Amino acid sequence: MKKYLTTILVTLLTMTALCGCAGGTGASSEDKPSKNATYGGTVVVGIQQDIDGLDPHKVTAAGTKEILFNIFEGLVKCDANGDLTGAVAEEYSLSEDGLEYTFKLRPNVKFHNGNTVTAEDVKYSLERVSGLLDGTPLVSTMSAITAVDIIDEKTVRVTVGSVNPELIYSFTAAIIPAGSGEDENADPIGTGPFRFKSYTPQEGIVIEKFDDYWKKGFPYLDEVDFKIVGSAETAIMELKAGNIQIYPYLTDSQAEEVKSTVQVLSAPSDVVQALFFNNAAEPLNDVRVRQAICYALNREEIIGFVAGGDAAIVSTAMLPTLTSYYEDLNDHYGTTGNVEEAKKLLAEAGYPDGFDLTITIPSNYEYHMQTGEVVVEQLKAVGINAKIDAVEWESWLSDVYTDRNYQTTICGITSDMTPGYLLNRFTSDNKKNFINFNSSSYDDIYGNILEAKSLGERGILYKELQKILCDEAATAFLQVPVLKVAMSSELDGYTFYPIYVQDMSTVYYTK
Amino acid sequence: MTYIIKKIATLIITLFLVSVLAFLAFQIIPGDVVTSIIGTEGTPEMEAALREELGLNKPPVERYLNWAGGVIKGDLGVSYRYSKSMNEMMPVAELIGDKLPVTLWLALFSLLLTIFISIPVGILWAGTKNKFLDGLLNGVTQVSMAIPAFFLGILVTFILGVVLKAFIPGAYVSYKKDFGAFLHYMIFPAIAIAIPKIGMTARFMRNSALTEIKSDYVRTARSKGVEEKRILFRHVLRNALLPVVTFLGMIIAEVIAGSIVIEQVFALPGIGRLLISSISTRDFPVTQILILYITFVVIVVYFIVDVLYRVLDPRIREE
Repeated sequence: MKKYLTTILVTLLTMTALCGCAGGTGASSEDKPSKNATYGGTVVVGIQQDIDGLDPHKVTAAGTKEILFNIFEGLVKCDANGDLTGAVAEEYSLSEDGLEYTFKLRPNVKFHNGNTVTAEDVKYSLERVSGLLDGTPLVSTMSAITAVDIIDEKTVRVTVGSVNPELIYSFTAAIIPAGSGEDENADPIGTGPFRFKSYTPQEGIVIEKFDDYWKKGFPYLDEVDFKIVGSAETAIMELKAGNIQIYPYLTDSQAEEVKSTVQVLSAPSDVVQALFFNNAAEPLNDVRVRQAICYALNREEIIGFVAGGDAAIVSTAMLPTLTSYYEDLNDHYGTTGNVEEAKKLLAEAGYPDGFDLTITIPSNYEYHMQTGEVVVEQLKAVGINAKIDAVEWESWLSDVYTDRNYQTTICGITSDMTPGYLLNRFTSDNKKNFINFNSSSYDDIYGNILEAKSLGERGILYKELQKILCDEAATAFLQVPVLKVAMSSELDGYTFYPIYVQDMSTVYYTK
Repeated sequence: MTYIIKKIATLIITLFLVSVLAFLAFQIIPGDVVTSIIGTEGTPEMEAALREELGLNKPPVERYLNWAGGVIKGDLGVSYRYSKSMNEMMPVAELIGDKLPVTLWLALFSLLLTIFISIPVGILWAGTKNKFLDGLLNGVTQVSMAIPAFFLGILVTFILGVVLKAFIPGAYVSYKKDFGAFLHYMIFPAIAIAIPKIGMTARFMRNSALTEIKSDYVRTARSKGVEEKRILFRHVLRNALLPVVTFLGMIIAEVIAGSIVIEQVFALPGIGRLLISSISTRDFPVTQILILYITFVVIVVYFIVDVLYRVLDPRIREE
């Protein structure tokens, strides 16, 4: 039973396009080069933080992955519609029992060092990420892999220990030359449209066009310079002066400021922002208190303040753009705040006069900080005396995320395109369950999902999970913010993805 | 000779104490480098492997001794955060060596500005009988010293960059890429650093010169009918400079050690900015060496000033 990638994805993993390219660029994941495009040129992209490494299997920062997307490719790759397409692999098939993946490699895919990708390289890369090489899995979902076998020069079979319908997304993990993960002085070598040129700490990373890229006609640009900007303010000044051509992290007010000089493109992000409750901490261990807070929040007002109204309100951990799984629960607590209901619940829970509450927020995220300020005011209206505790990101990671020593926090969860990624973290024994949510019915349903084979079946179960989160008020979900990208008017072809990447292979200077 | 030995001993003891304090500070501040590196997707296996790799599973005393032993042998260690290649981390020496020119050029520029402006201004100020000019200089220097560094940086950016368009804010060019453009960009942060230093040094120069003007040799020169300008620059300047040298020494130490705030405002990848980012990412090896570097610079520059002072003024040597 051999299914081709495209058909498998349409039937099995239908995900609807997130791409809402505004600004009239109409960029899409076309496989043919655009007629309006010119080849050549250099683009400087302003980035906000230094990269956290050059090893595609080990980096964790979203700000690094979005750049490395241009250098490395997996067996499969995410396209602009959120579907998987073949990259290093041309096609794959899945055995009847769901435990064996057979990948057929695309002929003549070249590494940046000029060598052709072989089955050996694929085996090595998969064994490296799955931990078969040295016992440490580098991509946690890939630890399910129990064996990687070379069938022939162009065919690799991967055996997994347990069925996971969403595992195929993890095969986006980079394919690197065999042995390069142990080679001391190895430059990062992948198969992507751009090759690594140089990296200078605190200044940035430069990539250049890879002439032998397997997808003919791409990329257009000769060189892309990802330059670390000092601050958002200097980025705007450099943008206006034409010193940087693309800056992908505009705030609402910055977008207003630059839209007369450059194009501003926007699309929904892949981040769900929420006021997360520590379900094990007093007084949030009382469901009525959590519900009261959900009622108290006026989310229309919040997005009005922080995003100029330009964000999607959500009441679940799921992205609305994952339409097969998303459950619209905005009516449950309402979106404009219900002070009476909130006060009633607080009185029932034994807090008629409210209580003191701390909201811990990583201070490097201006957006979350601003949201926090609005939330504090709204909680005041129901008698809850909230205060913001701004902490460094490193402290947040260790105190809030790892040690779970907090009351509430505002942050965002970035999706990796699989619905399971967004929802599995709330199962009671999950390491990522930093809100200490504990519901046996949730755990049971999640267990059923792993066994469900059809998309329809899983969709129903995922929606049930979301209803539980909502009824239990596990967390006060707030919004899905919008991405705003500034781009020089001489450029076109910028493509939004449902994952957080900066694909430079489709960007070109117009004639 | 005993003097020099004493100074070197002080240097070593200070460096040791500072390194211990910095090490302790890193044990106390919240945030763990391992959870920070592996981020939100880490598995316990990854955490354990990384802890092992960085040697963080050893007791603190052992870790400190390992580190200190390496430094004594000339091995400054490797950064926890910055990569050199795909599998290799950046050696601290290389990282700092790469950033040092930025800070040193900045220091040189701002020092030249300070010396060439503040000394003539100070001495002329001391000689002036114009009440208005005196008041004006008093006010201007007072204000220049009072403005916080970050605000001054923004002010320079705004006036010279945005209004007068003399440079593009944030458009730093690496010295390896285009040295001319690099120097051009460095002028502006140097101005921002120099302004308060000019104010301070000019005031210091003036006060020192005023004391000298009251002395006998000036009265003698005047009664001989020597021109007032000549008195100021020939006689008063030399004598008045002595205390100013000490003062300049302190300023030199301060700017070579890295101008943390100005580097931040102008997005300069120098020592100061590296220090800030390595503290916030808990990059212990880099932070520790930077702190030692700053301590070293301050102590050595003070030492040189001390020696210079003895050379310039025989009275001190005799004591």
